[in-house]
Amino acid sequence: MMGGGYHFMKFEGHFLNGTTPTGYAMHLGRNENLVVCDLPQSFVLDGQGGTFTLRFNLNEVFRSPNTYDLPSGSYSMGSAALMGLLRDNCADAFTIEHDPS
Amino acid sequence: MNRLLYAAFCLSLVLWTGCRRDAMDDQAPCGQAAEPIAFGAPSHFPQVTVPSGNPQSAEGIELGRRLYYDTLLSRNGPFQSFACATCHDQSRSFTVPTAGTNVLPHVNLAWSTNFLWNGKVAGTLEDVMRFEVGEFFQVDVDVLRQHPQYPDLFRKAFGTCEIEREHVAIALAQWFRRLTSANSKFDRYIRGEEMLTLSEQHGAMVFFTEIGDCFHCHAQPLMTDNGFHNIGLSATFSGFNTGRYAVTGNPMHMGAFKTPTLRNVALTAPYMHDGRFQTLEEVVEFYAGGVQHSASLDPIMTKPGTGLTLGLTPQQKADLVAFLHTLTDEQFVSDPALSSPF
Repeated sequence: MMGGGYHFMKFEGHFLNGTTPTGYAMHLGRNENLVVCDLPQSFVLDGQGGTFTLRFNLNEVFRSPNTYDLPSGSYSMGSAALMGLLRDNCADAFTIEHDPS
Repeated sequence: MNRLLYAAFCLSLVLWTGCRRDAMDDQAPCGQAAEPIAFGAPSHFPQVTVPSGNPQSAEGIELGRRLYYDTLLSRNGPFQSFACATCHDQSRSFTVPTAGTNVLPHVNLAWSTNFLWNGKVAGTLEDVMRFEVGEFFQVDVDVLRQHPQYPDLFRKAFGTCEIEREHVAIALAQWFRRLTSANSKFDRYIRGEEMLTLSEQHGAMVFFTEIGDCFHCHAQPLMTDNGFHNIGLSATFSGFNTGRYAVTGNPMHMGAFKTPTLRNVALTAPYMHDGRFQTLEEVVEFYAGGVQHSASLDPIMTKPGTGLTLGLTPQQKADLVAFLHTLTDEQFVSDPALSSPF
């Protein structure tokens, strides 16, 4: 159980499970589920201009390295197994673009 | 003789002018607003950004307080003889029991950016007070301009010599920031000043875990996420029950209402947007087994395998109610500084 602590991710909405509108509430919390990301580019923020774009690809949450089954995983709170899948899948979801000009 | 009369007239004019100047000296000068004071959020609350154009001041807060309790605010408007306080009683955490549309309490709204059950008004406290002063009360500022005391109170607060609705709105906004509640038994427990009973602690466990799953929407420390949720009160919707949908037109917002704060919830019966539940026990029974499915039901309410029930035992329900009682801030609901100045 998360017990109302800090949420690293809170992703909620509805999807069609067949023809049935179904809610999903995917929350990621607890220290053991902290997502560590390796960003594939070095950058310097010196306050002198330029553009830094941080993107999060939601598709990655569902496909790698684990295939995430939404109908059976629509409610992650309280499930160490489901939050583990989300943690691992989120690791490569971030990408950056840095244009120093 | 004519010279004597002329001299007497001049003397009386000088004396009258002098007396008039003395009287003016007692009044606040135009253009000089009151000294700003810090807002001072409770230490375990999020920080609040007070709009730079309306800093808090003792004079502004006191003016807002007076306006809040004064039926003059409604004179010549659609709610004749009403003051804000008519529907917002301090002893009930600034709400009153009503049939139909339930009255939301005025507590900790400094941390809110959307207002009313369906979020019809969004923005700052100044924005919602502009709505209340303009669209709701339709305040007749001439009533305030001709009042023996208000012109000087507005001068002292804002340095204005011409009262406008905007001044009424921003004075009320300052007063609403003053309506901060942060000294319940649970607050004192968080601060390490007081213990909860065993039943209250068990209730907190139900509240702050997925057992009861209350905390996702009624998050600490405000005991609201200031969001909108369809919690399954109905399976079909019409009229006021459409909730947030009436504002956004988004079908997924059908039946969603603003999460009310649970601070002082033991004092704010009845419950839900339409006041359908009279007691906290009834509310807990609803969450435990009365949730109804619809396409827009909030995902938080759809824990798989439970059939929309929580499976709480009678003891857990009683503990949860005991915990909810720890959210009562007796100081807030009895503070003379927040009571009527009349």
